[in-house]
Amino acid sequence: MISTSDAIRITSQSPEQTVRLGFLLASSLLPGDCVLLRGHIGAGKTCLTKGIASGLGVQDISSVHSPSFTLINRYEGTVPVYHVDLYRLEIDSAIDDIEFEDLWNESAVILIEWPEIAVGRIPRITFQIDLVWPMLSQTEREITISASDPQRLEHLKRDIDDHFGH
Amino acid sequence: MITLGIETSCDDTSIALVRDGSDVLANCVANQDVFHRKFGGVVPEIAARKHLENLLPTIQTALDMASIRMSDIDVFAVTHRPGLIGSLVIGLTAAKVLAAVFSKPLIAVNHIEAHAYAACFAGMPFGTENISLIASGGHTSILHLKDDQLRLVGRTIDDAAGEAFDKVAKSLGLGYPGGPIIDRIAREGNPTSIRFPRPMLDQPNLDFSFSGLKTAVLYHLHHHPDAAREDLSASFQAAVIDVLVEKTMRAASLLKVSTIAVVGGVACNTALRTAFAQKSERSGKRLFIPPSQFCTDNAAMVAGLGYHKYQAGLRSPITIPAQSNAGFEPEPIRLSPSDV
Repeated sequence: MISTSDAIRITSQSPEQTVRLGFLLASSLLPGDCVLLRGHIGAGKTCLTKGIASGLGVQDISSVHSPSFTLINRYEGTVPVYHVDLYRLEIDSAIDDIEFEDLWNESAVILIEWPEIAVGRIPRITFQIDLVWPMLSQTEREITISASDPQRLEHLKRDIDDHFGH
Repeated sequence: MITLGIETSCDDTSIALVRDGSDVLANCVANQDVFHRKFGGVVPEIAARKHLENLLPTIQTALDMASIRMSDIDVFAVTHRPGLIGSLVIGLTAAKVLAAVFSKPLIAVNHIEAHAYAACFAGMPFGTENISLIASGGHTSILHLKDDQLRLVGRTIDDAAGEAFDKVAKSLGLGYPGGPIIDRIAREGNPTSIRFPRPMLDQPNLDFSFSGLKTAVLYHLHHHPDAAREDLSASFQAAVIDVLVEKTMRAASLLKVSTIAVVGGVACNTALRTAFAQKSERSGKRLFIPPSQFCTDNAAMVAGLGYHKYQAGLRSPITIPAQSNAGFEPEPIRLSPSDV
Protein backbone atom coordinates (compact mmCIF):
# COMPACT_ATOMS: atom_id res chain seq x y z
CA MET A 1 0.00 0.00 0.00
CA ILE A 2 1.05 3.59 -0.53
CA SER A 3 2.09 6.10 2.11
CA THR A 4 -0.63 8.64 2.80
CA SER A 5 1.70 11.39 4.06
CA ASP A 6 1.30 13.60 0.96
CA ALA A 7 -2.28 12.58 0.37
CA ILE A 8 -5.22 14.67 -0.80
CA ARG A 9 -7.86 14.84 1.92
CA ILE A 10 -11.45 15.68 1.03
CA THR A 11 -14.76 15.61 2.85
CA SER A 12 -17.70 14.56 0.70
CA GLN A 13 -21.09 15.69 1.97
CA SER A 14 -23.22 13.33 -0.12
CA PRO A 15 -23.19 10.28 -2.41
CA GLU A 16 -23.66 12.68 -5.35
CA GLN A 17 -20.52 14.57 -4.35
CA THR A 18 -18.60 11.28 -4.08
CA VAL A 19 -19.74 10.36 -7.60
CA ARG A 20 -18.59 13.80 -8.81
CA LEU A 21 -15.17 13.30 -7.22
CA GLY A 22 -14.88 9.97 -9.05
CA PHE A 23 -15.78 11.68 -12.32
CA LEU A 24 -13.02 14.22 -11.72
CA LEU A 25 -10.50 11.55 -10.79
CA ALA A 26 -11.21 9.73 -14.05
CA SER A 27 -9.67 12.58 -16.05
CA SER A 28 -6.32 11.76 -14.41
CA LEU A 29 -6.49 8.07 -15.32
CA LEU A 30 -4.68 6.41 -18.22
CA PRO A 31 -5.06 2.93 -19.72
CA GLY A 32 -3.13 0.50 -17.54
CA ASP A 33 -3.78 2.41 -14.32
CA CYS A 34 -5.03 0.68 -11.20
CA VAL A 35 -7.02 2.32 -8.41
CA LEU A 36 -7.52 0.69 -5.01
CA LEU A 37 -10.68 1.57 -3.07
CA ARG A 38 -10.48 0.83 0.63
CA GLY A 39 -13.17 1.27 3.24
CA HIS A 40 -15.87 -0.58 5.16
CA ILE A 41 -19.37 -1.48 3.97
CA GLY A 42 -21.27 1.73 3.29
CA ALA A 43 -18.14 3.93 3.00
CA GLY A 44 -18.92 4.84 -0.61
CA LYS A 45 -16.61 2.62 -2.67
CA THR A 46 -19.23 1.70 -5.24
CA CYS A 47 -20.40 5.35 -5.45
CA LEU A 48 -16.88 6.48 -6.24
CA THR A 49 -16.54 3.66 -8.77
CA LYS A 50 -19.72 4.84 -10.52
CA GLY A 51 -18.20 8.33 -10.84
CA ILE A 52 -14.89 7.03 -12.16
CA ALA A 53 -16.62 4.75 -14.69
CA SER A 54 -18.81 7.62 -15.83
CA GLY A 55 -15.74 9.85 -16.24
CA LEU A 56 -14.12 7.09 -18.31
CA GLY A 57 -17.00 7.20 -20.75
CA VAL A 58 -19.15 4.32 -19.49
CA GLN A 59 -22.59 5.40 -20.75
CA ASP A 60 -24.94 3.38 -18.59
CA ILE A 61 -24.00 4.17 -15.01
CA SER A 62 -26.79 2.02 -13.61
CA SER A 63 -24.89 -0.98 -15.02
CA VAL A 64 -22.04 -0.17 -12.62
CA HIS A 65 -23.15 -2.22 -9.63
CA SER A 66 -21.48 -4.18 -6.89
CA PRO A 67 -19.72 -7.26 -8.33
CA SER A 68 -19.76 -8.99 -4.91
CA PHE A 69 -21.11 -12.19 -6.42
CA THR A 70 -19.36 -12.24 -9.77
CA LEU A 71 -16.17 -10.59 -8.37
CA ILE A 72 -15.30 -8.85 -11.64
CA ASN A 73 -17.46 -6.63 -13.86
CA ARG A 74 -16.21 -5.24 -17.16
CA TYR A 75 -17.61 -2.02 -18.63
CA GLU A 76 -16.92 -0.46 -22.01
CA GLY A 77 -15.91 3.19 -21.80
CA THR A 78 -13.38 5.11 -23.84
CA VAL A 79 -11.11 2.42 -22.36
CA PRO A 80 -12.22 -0.92 -20.92
CA VAL A 81 -12.91 -0.64 -17.19
CA TYR A 82 -12.58 -3.62 -14.83
CA HIS A 83 -14.46 -3.35 -11.53
CA VAL A 84 -13.13 -5.93 -9.11
CA ASP A 85 -14.60 -6.63 -5.66
CA LEU A 86 -12.65 -9.00 -3.42
CA TYR A 87 -15.04 -8.69 -0.46
CA ARG A 88 -15.88 -12.38 -0.48
CA LEU A 89 -12.38 -13.72 -0.80
CA GLU A 90 -10.82 -14.99 2.39
CA ILE A 91 -7.77 -16.71 0.99
CA ASP A 92 -5.58 -15.06 -1.62
CA SER A 93 -5.10 -18.28 -3.61
CA ALA A 94 -8.79 -17.95 -4.52
CA ILE A 95 -7.74 -15.09 -6.78
CA ASP A 96 -6.45 -17.69 -9.26
CA ASP A 97 -10.04 -18.67 -9.80
CA ILE A 98 -11.12 -15.30 -11.16
CA GLU A 99 -8.47 -14.82 -13.85
CA PHE A 100 -7.08 -11.90 -11.87
CA GLU A 101 -3.62 -12.18 -13.45
CA ASP A 102 -5.06 -11.76 -16.96
CA LEU A 103 -6.39 -8.29 -16.19
CA TRP A 104 -2.95 -6.72 -16.16
CA ASN A 105 -2.07 -7.58 -19.76
CA GLU A 106 -4.84 -5.47 -21.22
CA SER A 107 -4.75 -1.71 -21.56
CA ALA A 108 -7.68 -1.15 -19.27
CA VAL A 109 -8.34 0.82 -16.11
CA ILE A 110 -8.66 -1.50 -13.11
CA LEU A 111 -10.67 -0.50 -10.03
CA ILE A 112 -10.38 -2.81 -7.02
CA GLU A 113 -12.68 -2.73 -4.00
CA TRP A 114 -11.52 -4.60 -0.87
CA PRO A 115 -7.95 -5.00 -2.27
CA GLU A 116 -6.35 -5.97 1.07
CA ILE A 117 -6.40 -9.72 0.45
CA ALA A 118 -4.64 -9.36 -2.91
CA VAL A 119 -2.00 -6.88 -1.89
CA GLY A 120 1.01 -8.96 -2.87
CA ARG A 121 -0.51 -9.79 -6.24
CA ILE A 122 -1.26 -6.32 -7.53
CA PRO A 123 1.62 -5.43 -9.87
CA ARG A 124 1.02 -1.69 -9.97
CA ILE A 125 -1.01 0.81 -7.99
CA THR A 126 -1.65 4.28 -9.43
CA PHE A 127 -3.99 5.70 -6.82
CA GLN A 128 -5.11 4.40 -3.47
CA ILE A 129 -8.31 5.82 -2.08
CA ASP A 130 -9.31 5.39 1.54
CA LEU A 131 -12.92 6.11 2.40
CA VAL A 132 -13.98 6.57 5.99
CA TRP A 133 -17.47 7.08 7.30
CA PRO A 134 -17.10 8.91 10.62
CA MET A 135 -20.80 8.22 11.42
CA LEU A 136 -21.43 11.85 12.28
CA SER A 137 -24.12 12.01 9.64
CA GLN A 138 -25.64 9.50 7.22
CA THR A 139 -23.97 11.07 4.19
CA GLU A 140 -20.62 12.59 5.16
CA ARG A 141 -17.47 10.66 4.14
CA GLU A 142 -13.76 11.43 4.56
CA ILE A 143 -11.81 10.54 1.45
CA THR A 144 -8.01 10.30 1.26
CA ILE A 145 -6.29 9.93 -2.11
CA SER A 146 -2.64 8.90 -2.34
CA ALA A 147 -0.54 8.04 -5.38
CA SER A 148 2.63 6.16 -6.17
CA ASP A 149 3.77 9.01 -8.46
CA PRO A 150 3.94 12.39 -6.62
CA GLN A 151 3.62 14.29 -9.91
CA ARG A 152 0.35 12.66 -10.80
CA LEU A 153 -0.95 13.36 -7.31
CA GLU A 154 0.02 17.01 -7.76
CA HIS A 155 -1.91 17.17 -11.07
CA LEU A 156 -4.96 15.62 -9.50
CA LYS A 157 -4.74 18.00 -6.55
CA ARG A 158 -4.86 20.99 -8.91
CA ASP A 159 -7.88 19.53 -10.75
CA ILE A 160 -9.68 18.98 -7.50
CA ASP A 161 -8.87 22.46 -6.18
CA ASP A 162 -10.18 23.97 -9.44
CA HIS A 163 -13.35 21.94 -9.85
CA PHE A 164 -14.43 20.28 -6.63
CA GLY A 165 -16.26 22.98 -4.69
CA HIS A 166 -17.59 22.27 -1.24
CA MET B 1 -39.76 -37.20 -22.43
CA ILE B 2 -37.22 -36.95 -19.60
CA THR B 3 -34.87 -33.99 -19.16
CA LEU B 4 -31.89 -33.98 -16.83
CA GLY B 5 -31.13 -30.48 -15.55
CA ILE B 6 -27.79 -29.30 -14.19
CA GLU B 7 -27.39 -26.04 -12.27
CA THR B 8 -24.00 -24.93 -10.85
CA SER B 9 -24.00 -21.15 -11.39
CA CYS B 10 -23.23 -20.17 -7.80
CA ASP B 11 -22.82 -22.20 -4.63
CA ASP B 12 -25.46 -24.93 -4.96
CA THR B 13 -24.92 -28.07 -7.01
CA SER B 14 -28.34 -29.10 -8.25
CA ILE B 15 -29.50 -31.97 -10.43
CA ALA B 16 -33.10 -32.57 -11.47
CA LEU B 17 -35.08 -35.03 -13.53
CA VAL B 18 -38.26 -33.63 -15.03
CA ARG B 19 -40.79 -35.41 -17.23
CA ASP B 20 -42.40 -33.34 -19.99
CA GLY B 21 -41.27 -30.03 -18.54
CA SER B 22 -43.43 -29.96 -15.43
CA ASP B 23 -43.50 -33.33 -13.67
CA VAL B 24 -40.56 -33.14 -11.25
CA LEU B 25 -39.26 -36.67 -10.58
CA ALA B 26 -36.23 -35.50 -8.58
CA ASN B 27 -34.79 -32.11 -7.62
CA CYS B 28 -31.61 -32.64 -5.59
CA VAL B 29 -29.53 -29.81 -4.18
CA ALA B 30 -26.13 -30.26 -2.56
CA ASN B 31 -26.01 -27.11 -0.51
CA GLN B 32 -22.65 -25.57 0.32
CA ASP B 33 -23.83 -23.12 3.00
CA VAL B 34 -21.92 -24.97 5.67
CA PHE B 35 -18.65 -24.29 3.85
CA HIS B 36 -19.38 -20.64 3.13
CA ARG B 37 -21.01 -19.78 6.43
CA LYS B 38 -17.75 -19.03 8.22
CA PHE B 39 -16.76 -16.58 5.49
CA GLY B 40 -20.12 -14.80 5.47
CA GLY B 41 -20.49 -15.33 1.77
CA VAL B 42 -19.72 -17.48 -1.23
CA VAL B 43 -16.03 -18.17 -1.79
CA PRO B 44 -15.65 -18.89 -5.53
CA GLU B 45 -12.73 -21.26 -5.26
CA ILE B 46 -14.44 -23.35 -2.61
CA ALA B 47 -17.65 -23.24 -4.65
CA ALA B 48 -15.97 -24.59 -7.80
CA ARG B 49 -14.17 -27.40 -5.95
CA LYS B 50 -17.32 -28.43 -4.11
CA HIS B 51 -19.26 -28.55 -7.36
CA LEU B 52 -16.68 -30.97 -8.70
CA GLU B 53 -16.95 -33.15 -5.60
CA ASN B 54 -20.75 -32.99 -5.43
CA LEU B 55 -21.71 -33.32 -9.07
CA LEU B 56 -21.54 -37.07 -9.73
CA PRO B 57 -22.96 -38.15 -6.34
CA THR B 58 -25.84 -35.69 -6.81
CA ILE B 59 -26.58 -37.04 -10.29
CA GLN B 60 -26.61 -40.57 -8.83
CA THR B 61 -28.94 -39.53 -6.01
CA ALA B 62 -31.37 -37.96 -8.50
CA LEU B 63 -31.36 -41.06 -10.72
CA ASP B 64 -31.95 -43.31 -7.71
CA MET B 65 -34.79 -41.14 -6.40
CA ALA B 66 -36.55 -41.18 -9.75
CA SER B 67 -35.65 -44.83 -10.52
CA ILE B 68 -34.29 -43.76 -13.87
CA ARG B 69 -31.21 -44.89 -15.76
CA MET B 70 -28.90 -42.48 -17.52
CA SER B 71 -29.81 -44.10 -20.84
CA ASP B 72 -33.51 -43.17 -20.27
CA ILE B 73 -32.71 -39.47 -20.45
CA ASP B 74 -33.78 -37.71 -23.65
CA VAL B 75 -32.35 -34.21 -23.19
CA PHE B 76 -29.52 -32.68 -21.12
CA ALA B 77 -30.23 -29.11 -19.99
CA VAL B 78 -27.71 -26.93 -18.19
CA THR B 79 -27.18 -23.35 -17.00
CA HIS B 80 -24.40 -21.68 -18.99
CA ARG B 81 -24.86 -18.05 -17.89
CA PRO B 82 -24.76 -15.90 -15.77
CA GLY B 83 -22.79 -16.88 -12.67
CA LEU B 84 -19.34 -17.55 -11.28
CA ILE B 85 -17.32 -18.68 -14.26
CA GLY B 86 -15.43 -21.47 -12.42
CA SER B 87 -18.71 -22.89 -11.12
CA LEU B 88 -20.58 -22.65 -14.43
CA VAL B 89 -17.79 -24.42 -16.31
CA ILE B 90 -18.09 -27.53 -14.15
CA GLY B 91 -21.82 -28.05 -14.73
CA LEU B 92 -21.57 -27.12 -18.40
CA THR B 93 -18.68 -29.50 -19.05
CA ALA B 94 -20.52 -32.34 -17.34
CA ALA B 95 -23.62 -31.70 -19.47
CA LYS B 96 -21.56 -31.60 -22.68
CA VAL B 97 -19.85 -34.88 -21.85
CA LEU B 98 -23.12 -36.63 -20.96
CA ALA B 99 -24.86 -35.35 -24.09
CA ALA B 100 -21.94 -36.50 -26.24
CA VAL B 101 -21.59 -39.91 -24.60
CA PHE B 102 -25.31 -40.71 -24.78
CA SER B 103 -25.79 -38.98 -28.15
CA LYS B 104 -28.60 -36.80 -26.83
CA PRO B 105 -29.26 -33.10 -27.39
CA LEU B 106 -27.65 -30.42 -25.22
CA ILE B 107 -29.72 -27.39 -24.26
CA ALA B 108 -27.88 -24.54 -22.53
CA VAL B 109 -30.18 -22.09 -20.76
CA ASN B 110 -29.92 -18.69 -19.11
CA HIS B 111 -30.16 -18.87 -15.30
CA ILE B 112 -32.37 -15.76 -15.14
CA GLU B 113 -34.79 -17.17 -17.70
CA ALA B 114 -34.82 -20.45 -15.77
CA HIS B 115 -35.73 -18.61 -12.55
CA ALA B 116 -38.62 -16.95 -14.39
CA TYR B 117 -39.73 -20.38 -15.64
CA ALA B 118 -40.03 -21.60 -12.03
CA ALA B 119 -43.41 -19.84 -11.80
CA CYS B 120 -44.74 -22.73 -13.93
CA PHE B 121 -44.14 -24.99 -10.90
CA ALA B 122 -46.70 -22.83 -9.10
CA GLY B 123 -49.25 -23.57 -11.83
CA MET B 124 -48.61 -20.72 -14.27
CA PRO B 125 -49.16 -22.03 -17.81
CA PHE B 126 -45.93 -21.93 -19.84
CA GLY B 127 -45.67 -18.85 -22.01
CA THR B 128 -48.18 -16.74 -20.03
CA GLU B 129 -47.44 -13.05 -20.43
CA ASN B 130 -46.25 -11.90 -17.03
CA ILE B 131 -44.16 -9.54 -14.96
CA SER B 132 -41.48 -11.50 -13.09
CA LEU B 133 -39.62 -10.21 -10.09
CA ILE B 134 -36.36 -12.13 -9.77
CA ALA B 135 -34.75 -11.40 -6.42
CA SER B 136 -31.78 -13.33 -5.07
CA GLY B 137 -28.27 -12.89 -3.70
CA GLY B 138 -26.88 -12.05 -7.11
CA HIS B 139 -29.81 -10.56 -9.02
CA THR B 140 -32.71 -8.20 -8.53
CA SER B 141 -34.58 -7.56 -11.74
CA ILE B 142 -38.06 -7.01 -13.12
CA LEU B 143 -38.67 -8.82 -16.40
CA HIS B 144 -41.57 -8.70 -18.80
CA LEU B 145 -42.30 -11.98 -20.56
CA LYS B 146 -44.35 -11.50 -23.72
CA ASP B 147 -44.47 -13.61 -26.88
CA ASP B 148 -41.63 -15.82 -25.60
CA GLN B 149 -39.40 -12.74 -25.28
CA LEU B 150 -37.99 -11.77 -21.90
CA ARG B 151 -37.35 -8.04 -21.57
CA LEU B 152 -35.42 -6.55 -18.68
CA VAL B 153 -37.44 -3.52 -17.60
CA GLY B 154 -35.95 -2.82 -14.16
CA ARG B 155 -32.98 -3.86 -12.07
CA THR B 156 -30.85 -2.90 -9.11
CA ILE B 157 -28.33 -0.16 -9.70
CA ASP B 158 -26.08 -1.34 -6.85
CA ASP B 159 -26.60 -4.28 -4.46
CA ALA B 160 -28.95 -7.21 -5.05
CA ALA B 161 -31.77 -7.61 -2.50
CA GLY B 162 -30.36 -10.90 -1.19
CA GLU B 163 -26.92 -9.34 -0.95
CA ALA B 164 -28.40 -6.57 1.23
CA PHE B 165 -29.93 -9.27 3.48
CA ASP B 166 -26.51 -10.98 3.73
CA LYS B 167 -24.58 -7.77 4.46
CA VAL B 168 -27.08 -6.51 7.02
CA ALA B 169 -27.15 -9.91 8.76
CA LYS B 170 -23.36 -9.92 8.88
CA SER B 171 -23.28 -6.39 10.33
CA LEU B 172 -25.84 -7.40 12.97
CA GLY B 173 -23.70 -10.41 13.83
CA LEU B 174 -26.46 -12.81 12.80
CA GLY B 175 -24.54 -15.11 10.43
CA TYR B 176 -24.94 -16.43 6.88
CA PRO B 177 -27.02 -16.79 4.79
CA GLY B 178 -28.78 -13.62 5.88
CA GLY B 179 -32.20 -14.12 4.25
CA PRO B 180 -33.62 -17.00 6.30
CA ILE B 181 -32.08 -15.65 9.53
CA ILE B 182 -33.58 -12.18 9.14
CA ASP B 183 -36.91 -13.69 8.04
CA ARG B 184 -37.04 -15.71 11.27
CA ILE B 185 -35.84 -13.00 13.66
CA ALA B 186 -38.06 -10.36 12.05
CA ARG B 187 -41.18 -12.30 13.09
CA GLU B 188 -40.40 -11.32 16.70
CA GLY B 189 -39.82 -7.65 15.84
CA ASN B 190 -41.86 -4.57 15.05
CA PRO B 191 -41.52 -3.61 11.38
CA THR B 192 -42.63 -0.02 12.03
CA SER B 193 -40.25 0.63 14.93
CA ILE B 194 -37.56 2.20 12.72
CA ARG B 195 -38.52 4.11 9.59
CA PHE B 196 -35.80 3.16 7.11
CA PRO B 197 -35.82 4.77 3.66
CA ARG B 198 -37.67 3.16 0.75
CA PRO B 199 -34.98 3.69 -1.89
CA MET B 200 -35.99 4.60 -5.47
CA LEU B 201 -39.72 4.49 -4.70
CA ASP B 202 -40.10 8.10 -5.82
CA GLN B 203 -37.99 7.61 -8.97
CA PRO B 204 -39.78 7.47 -12.33
CA ASN B 205 -38.40 4.07 -13.32
CA LEU B 206 -38.57 0.39 -12.31
CA ASP B 207 -35.05 0.21 -10.89
CA PHE B 208 -33.97 -0.69 -7.38
CA SER B 209 -31.19 0.46 -5.03
CA PHE B 210 -30.35 -1.26 -1.76
CA SER B 211 -26.96 0.26 -0.99
CA GLY B 212 -28.44 3.35 0.72
CA LEU B 213 -30.78 1.20 2.80
CA LYS B 214 -27.85 -0.93 3.97
CA THR B 215 -26.06 2.33 4.89
CA ALA B 216 -29.11 3.54 6.84
CA VAL B 217 -29.19 0.29 8.85
CA LEU B 218 -25.47 0.55 9.65
CA TYR B 219 -25.88 4.19 10.69
CA HIS B 220 -28.76 3.34 12.97
CA LEU B 221 -26.82 0.45 14.45
CA HIS B 222 -23.78 2.66 15.12
CA HIS B 223 -25.87 5.15 17.10
CA HIS B 224 -28.11 2.54 18.75
CA PRO B 225 -25.72 -0.36 19.36
CA ASP B 226 -28.20 -1.96 21.76
CA ALA B 227 -31.17 -1.74 19.39
CA ALA B 228 -33.18 -4.96 19.41
CA ARG B 229 -32.03 -7.14 16.52
CA GLU B 230 -35.63 -8.24 16.05
CA ASP B 231 -36.84 -4.67 15.46
CA LEU B 232 -33.88 -3.81 13.24
CA SER B 233 -34.41 -6.94 11.16
CA ALA B 234 -38.16 -6.42 10.88
CA SER B 235 -37.81 -2.75 9.92
CA PHE B 236 -35.07 -3.41 7.37
CA GLN B 237 -37.04 -6.28 5.87
CA ALA B 238 -40.20 -4.16 5.68
CA ALA B 239 -38.31 -1.50 3.69
CA VAL B 240 -36.97 -4.08 1.21
CA ILE B 241 -40.40 -5.67 0.79
CA ASP B 242 -42.19 -2.35 0.30
CA VAL B 243 -39.89 -1.44 -2.57
CA LEU B 244 -39.94 -4.89 -4.21
CA VAL B 245 -43.73 -5.16 -4.06
CA GLU B 246 -44.44 -1.58 -5.08
CA LYS B 247 -42.12 -1.54 -8.10
CA THR B 248 -43.34 -4.93 -9.33
CA MET B 249 -46.99 -3.87 -9.06
CA ARG B 250 -46.12 -0.62 -10.79
CA ALA B 251 -44.53 -2.55 -13.67
CA ALA B 252 -47.65 -4.71 -14.01
CA SER B 253 -50.04 -1.80 -14.08
CA LEU B 254 -47.86 0.27 -16.40
CA LEU B 255 -47.41 -2.53 -18.93
CA LYS B 256 -51.03 -3.67 -18.42
CA VAL B 257 -50.04 -7.20 -17.46
CA SER B 258 -52.44 -9.21 -15.28
CA THR B 259 -50.05 -11.96 -14.13
CA ILE B 260 -47.19 -11.58 -11.66
CA ALA B 261 -44.46 -14.10 -10.84
CA VAL B 262 -42.11 -13.79 -7.88
CA VAL B 263 -39.03 -16.01 -8.01
CA GLY B 264 -35.42 -16.26 -6.80
CA GLY B 265 -34.12 -17.01 -3.31
CA VAL B 266 -35.63 -13.87 -1.77
CA ALA B 267 -39.07 -15.18 -2.81
CA CYS B 268 -38.72 -17.70 0.06
CA ASN B 269 -39.18 -14.81 2.50
CA THR B 270 -42.48 -15.38 4.28
CA ALA B 271 -43.30 -11.71 4.82
CA LEU B 272 -42.61 -10.98 1.13
CA ARG B 273 -44.95 -13.78 0.05
CA THR B 274 -47.70 -12.45 2.31
CA ALA B 275 -47.22 -8.87 1.10
CA PHE B 276 -47.42 -9.93 -2.55
CA ALA B 277 -50.50 -12.08 -1.91
CA GLN B 278 -52.34 -9.17 -0.27
CA LYS B 279 -51.32 -6.59 -2.83
CA SER B 280 -52.13 -8.68 -5.88
CA GLU B 281 -55.51 -9.71 -4.50
CA ARG B 282 -56.37 -6.07 -3.92
CA SER B 283 -55.37 -5.10 -7.44
CA GLY B 284 -56.92 -8.13 -9.14
CA LYS B 285 -53.65 -9.61 -10.44
CA ARG B 286 -52.92 -13.31 -10.69
CA LEU B 287 -49.89 -14.19 -8.58
CA PHE B 288 -47.56 -17.19 -8.91
CA ILE B 289 -44.85 -17.82 -6.33
CA PRO B 290 -43.30 -21.29 -6.55
CA PRO B 291 -42.61 -23.43 -3.47
CA SER B 292 -39.28 -22.56 -1.83
CA GLN B 293 -37.36 -25.45 -3.42
CA PHE B 294 -38.04 -23.88 -6.85
CA CYS B 295 -37.24 -20.31 -5.67
CA THR B 296 -33.63 -20.84 -4.61
CA ASP B 297 -31.17 -22.08 -7.22
CA ASN B 298 -32.40 -25.45 -8.48
CA ALA B 299 -32.03 -27.65 -11.53
CA ALA B 300 -35.76 -28.38 -11.94
CA MET B 301 -36.24 -24.92 -13.43
CA VAL B 302 -33.32 -25.59 -15.79
CA ALA B 303 -34.74 -28.94 -16.88
CA GLY B 304 -38.24 -27.48 -17.26
CA LEU B 305 -37.12 -24.58 -19.40
CA GLY B 306 -34.71 -26.85 -21.30
CA TYR B 307 -37.60 -29.14 -22.25
CA HIS B 308 -39.59 -26.26 -23.73
CA LYS B 309 -36.54 -24.93 -25.58
CA TYR B 310 -36.03 -28.39 -27.01
CA GLN B 311 -39.68 -28.54 -28.11
CA ALA B 312 -39.21 -25.16 -29.77
CA GLY B 313 -36.33 -26.63 -31.79
CA LEU B 314 -33.35 -25.18 -29.94
CA ARG B 315 -30.12 -27.22 -29.87
CA SER B 316 -26.93 -25.88 -28.27
CA PRO B 317 -23.58 -26.54 -29.95
CA ILE B 318 -21.01 -28.51 -27.97
CA THR B 319 -18.77 -25.43 -28.20
CA ILE B 320 -21.15 -23.15 -26.29
CA PRO B 321 -19.13 -21.26 -23.64
CA ALA B 322 -19.91 -20.43 -20.01
CA GLN B 323 -20.44 -16.69 -19.54
CA SER B 324 -20.45 -14.72 -16.32
CA ASN B 325 -22.80 -11.97 -17.52
CA ALA B 326 -26.54 -12.33 -18.10
CA GLY B 327 -26.53 -11.05 -21.66
CA PHE B 328 -29.76 -9.08 -21.23
CA GLU B 329 -29.74 -5.55 -22.55
CA PRO B 330 -31.88 -3.48 -20.23
CA GLU B 331 -34.88 -1.79 -21.77
CA PRO B 332 -35.59 0.81 -19.15
CA ILE B 333 -39.14 1.96 -18.74
CA ARG B 334 -39.61 5.64 -17.99
CA LEU B 335 -42.64 6.44 -15.92
CA SER B 336 -44.61 9.63 -16.09
CA PRO B 337 -44.88 11.53 -12.80
CA SER B 338 -48.50 10.45 -12.44
CA ASP B 339 -47.40 6.80 -12.26
CA VAL B 340 -45.12 7.39 -9.27
